[in-house]
Amino acid sequence: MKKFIALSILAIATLQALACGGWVRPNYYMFSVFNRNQMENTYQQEANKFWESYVGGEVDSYMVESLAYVEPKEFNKSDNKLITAARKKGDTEMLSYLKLLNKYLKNNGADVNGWDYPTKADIANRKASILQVKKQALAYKGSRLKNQYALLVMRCNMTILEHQANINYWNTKVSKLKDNTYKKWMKDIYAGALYNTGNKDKACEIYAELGDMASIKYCMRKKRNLAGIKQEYDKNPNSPTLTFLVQDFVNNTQETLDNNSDPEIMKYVEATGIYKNDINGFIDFSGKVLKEGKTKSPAMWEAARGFVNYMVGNQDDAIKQLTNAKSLEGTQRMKDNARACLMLASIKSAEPSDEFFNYMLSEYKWLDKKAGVSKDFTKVADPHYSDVYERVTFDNFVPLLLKWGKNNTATAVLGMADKKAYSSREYSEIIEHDSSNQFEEFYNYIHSNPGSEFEKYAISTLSIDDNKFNDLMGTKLLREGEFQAAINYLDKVPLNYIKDQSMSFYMARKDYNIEPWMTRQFIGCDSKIKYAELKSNAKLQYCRDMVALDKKIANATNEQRNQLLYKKAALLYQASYKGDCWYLTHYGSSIYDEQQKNEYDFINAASILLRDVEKNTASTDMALKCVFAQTFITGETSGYCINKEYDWENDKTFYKLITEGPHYHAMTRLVNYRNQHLKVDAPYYTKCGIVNRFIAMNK
Amino acid sequence: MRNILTYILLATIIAIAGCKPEGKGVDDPKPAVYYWRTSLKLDSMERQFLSDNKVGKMYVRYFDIVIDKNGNLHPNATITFDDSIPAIIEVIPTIFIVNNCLEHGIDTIAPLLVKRVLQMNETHDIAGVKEMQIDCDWTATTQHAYFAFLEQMKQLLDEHGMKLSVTIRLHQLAMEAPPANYGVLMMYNTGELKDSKLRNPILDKRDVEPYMKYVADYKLTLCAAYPNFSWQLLYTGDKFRDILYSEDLSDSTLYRRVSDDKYLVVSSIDLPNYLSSNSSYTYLNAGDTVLVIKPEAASIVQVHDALSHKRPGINDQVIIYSLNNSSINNYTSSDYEKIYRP
Repeated sequence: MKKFIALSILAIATLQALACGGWVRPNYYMFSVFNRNQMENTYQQEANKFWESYVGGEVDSYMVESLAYVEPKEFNKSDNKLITAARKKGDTEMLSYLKLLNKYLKNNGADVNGWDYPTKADIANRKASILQVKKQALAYKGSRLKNQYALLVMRCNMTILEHQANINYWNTKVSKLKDNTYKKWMKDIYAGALYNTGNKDKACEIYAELGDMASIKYCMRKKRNLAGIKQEYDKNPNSPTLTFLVQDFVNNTQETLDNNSDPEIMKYVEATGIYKNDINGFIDFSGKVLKEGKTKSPAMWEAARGFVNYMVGNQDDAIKQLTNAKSLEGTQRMKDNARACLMLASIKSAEPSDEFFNYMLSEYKWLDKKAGVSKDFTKVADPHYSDVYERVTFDNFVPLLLKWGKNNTATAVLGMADKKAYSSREYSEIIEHDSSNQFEEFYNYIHSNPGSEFEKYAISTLSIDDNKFNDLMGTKLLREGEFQAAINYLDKVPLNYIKDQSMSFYMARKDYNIEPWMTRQFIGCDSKIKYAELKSNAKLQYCRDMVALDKKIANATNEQRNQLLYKKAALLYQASYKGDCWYLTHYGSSIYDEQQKNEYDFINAASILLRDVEKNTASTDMALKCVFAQTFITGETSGYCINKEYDWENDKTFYKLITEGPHYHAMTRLVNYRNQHLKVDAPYYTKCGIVNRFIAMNK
Repeated sequence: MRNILTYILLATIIAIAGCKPEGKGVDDPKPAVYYWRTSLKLDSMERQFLSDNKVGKMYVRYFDIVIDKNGNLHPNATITFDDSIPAIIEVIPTIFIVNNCLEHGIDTIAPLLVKRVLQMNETHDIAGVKEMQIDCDWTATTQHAYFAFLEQMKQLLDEHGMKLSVTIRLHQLAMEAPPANYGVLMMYNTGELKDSKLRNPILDKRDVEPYMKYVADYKLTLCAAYPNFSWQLLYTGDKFRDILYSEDLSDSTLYRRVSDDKYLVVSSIDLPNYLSSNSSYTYLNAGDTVLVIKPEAASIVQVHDALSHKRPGINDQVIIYSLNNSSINNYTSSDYEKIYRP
């Protein structure tokens, strides 16, 4: 995986209302025959397992390396965990080894970045110490710690740059040892010695065989293209470097083709024809390799051309080759890779049949196993297969289900992914933003007994308890402006359930009865939000207040009615995504929020009421308040006509008046109205900073 | 009244004389190079360059001073000496100090720094060292601390019979001159990378122009350093993204040359960033462009001559940044001759 592509399902209308428009998913690479998780500390980490079993507890790399800080004269009293364990066991053989390891680590490298730069004598002494360690390590005659001592010999040679000695030692001794972590570690050092003595090809092959990604990438830096692949193949059709190069080529092809989001750029690139030639050349070359029969990894080559064919749209060839690759010779990872690629490719030409869903069921179960999802769904053992899961699910399978009109199944598949520790925000977004009807339908769906085994499998991971259901239904109905209906659900939600939601912090501190244009309720954004102690569920109270208010309005006349409508406008605005009390209709708030499809247009409804009251009232006081409120709403929704800007040259801030746009006109209307009715006592107007600045800037 | 006028006239003459260009450059000037790598190893091309251009001084970056997460200053990226420098060439140990170090106890490190450099010379048999150079992009905010540090350095080096030189960036010309024996005016990295499609960020006369007025009267003996390097700048559309490290742009499966200095990325690839300590990668996407930027030789010579005109003697000693086989061939021997001439 490298960069990010826009999430394709964002564009699909049936899954509307994904609130955060900035959400993108990485374009995970599908093709993986080379272990991508090899890092420099792998050997040490694996060796730590030996120490863990020895000391009977957790051992990290630092614990081993910190042996370097143990002074030789303090060795017998040291509280280092490894030394202590050996001492307690009376294990003199181990204590001798640890003493030698301590000496090596102390002299392993001069601290060339310390303030005290080593003198010639320091360097000579260090080298002498390393030579002593090497001599003693070579003298070890036992068998229990032979791997550790051999590693010490090779590390000593590496430190004093005796690369040829390491090559000889590997050839005469280490290569005959049994395979284990220490031997792999030593083989990596041996490869380094080969590289440093000019045998770079052999070194690169070993790096590739060991899966040392950082080294192989460096070694192969000039061969990461079709020409490089051909060159390596011609030298040795079974060179381990080919595993890296083929994977790299396929992944780069995926990257190139995934990058086609900008047609202008791709038009330019396609015009060169180079990458297409290379892709076609690769497909042909893979065919040639398979035909020649020299490779011991036909599964890799067949899957590689199959997946490249899939990417360039040769669907029939892709399915045929990927299917074939699964049963060809190669490592298990190569065969698994073919199976994962086939799963993705199959979606492209799938029909909504039982056969297809049964296939997806078996492949999803397999993928779960490969990813190694823990029983509590919190950990993934092999991140490559979780990446595959994500690309298959989010970018391909879910859009296909939606295309087939299987919206509930699509949501269930997203929920399944979410539940199983894969990175998913889509499910919670949909659950939160779907309409009350859609949500109720989905709720009923997951509590039903669908006929398809696949659907049963998907929904078996999902659960929506009563509190969540009632809270979501109530909130959705409130958001849709169905206050009476919302009460029926919200009434059943215990206060403790609301209290545990992060928005409760705002619910406890922001009062929806305050007129938003008269008093802003800023309480900041606290990253260490402490959930609030709530006395009541404000959503429920709000719905009750709105229902009661509507009854009063129905019975009121003239100015009393205008007063009530004005109040309703303020309450409506507060519940909008722009209002201070957004928590009534949303579970979170962001400056990127906007009006959603399934949301009653609270802002527009408030504006209509304010216009009506302004028009119908006989009170200039009330009318000015309405004009003031409308001006506020215009500023909040369309942007203010006064901007605070920064003068970089003079290093100071200043205000800029924008004389075009709705807010400028709204402000002009407000000021003109006030000028016509100077007798109205309106401190909210005369003391308003924006109004005063606007007047001053317009003089 | 007449006495007062005479006094004013005299004072003015003295003041003018004080600001007058000294008309001479550094003591013992020689063609010079900067060596700015982490291991000292010269190949045949580099040795040939030294010989062809009669290079007599090599300003070798010994190490950097950086600040760690605990706020302590320490050396970093210390050079390893894997080769010897021709005996005829004088080595000037050069230390790069990251600017933010100046706000974190720089006053404590001068003795450590001098001791370290002397020890490095001794350990690696680098004889005849008569000078040390400090390179730092100090600003008005850090000037006070930096100058105090230089005073300390100067005093300590004096005890060892050594001189102190400093680098001077163009923007520093507008400020007080630092306390040192001389300064090297860096005539490279004069522009902004983000503007590199409009101006050459390595050296553009238009970026130098505003500072030329300070050159003549700058109260520190100066010599000049000119670039011979090029940059490979990666763009997505018009947006600058990264600098590539000696990428092989002749690989036609990855790049297509669309003009003399412009390449189109035709296949996406990730390139390990060998300069980074945290194994990061630079991602090249199909459709990105790579611009190869280097100043025209004529442009360097033009700036060179303009400097000579403004401040005679400044080019008595010229330093090329830097000695590196990947840069040497960016210019011809005739270009180097023109740049090296006083």
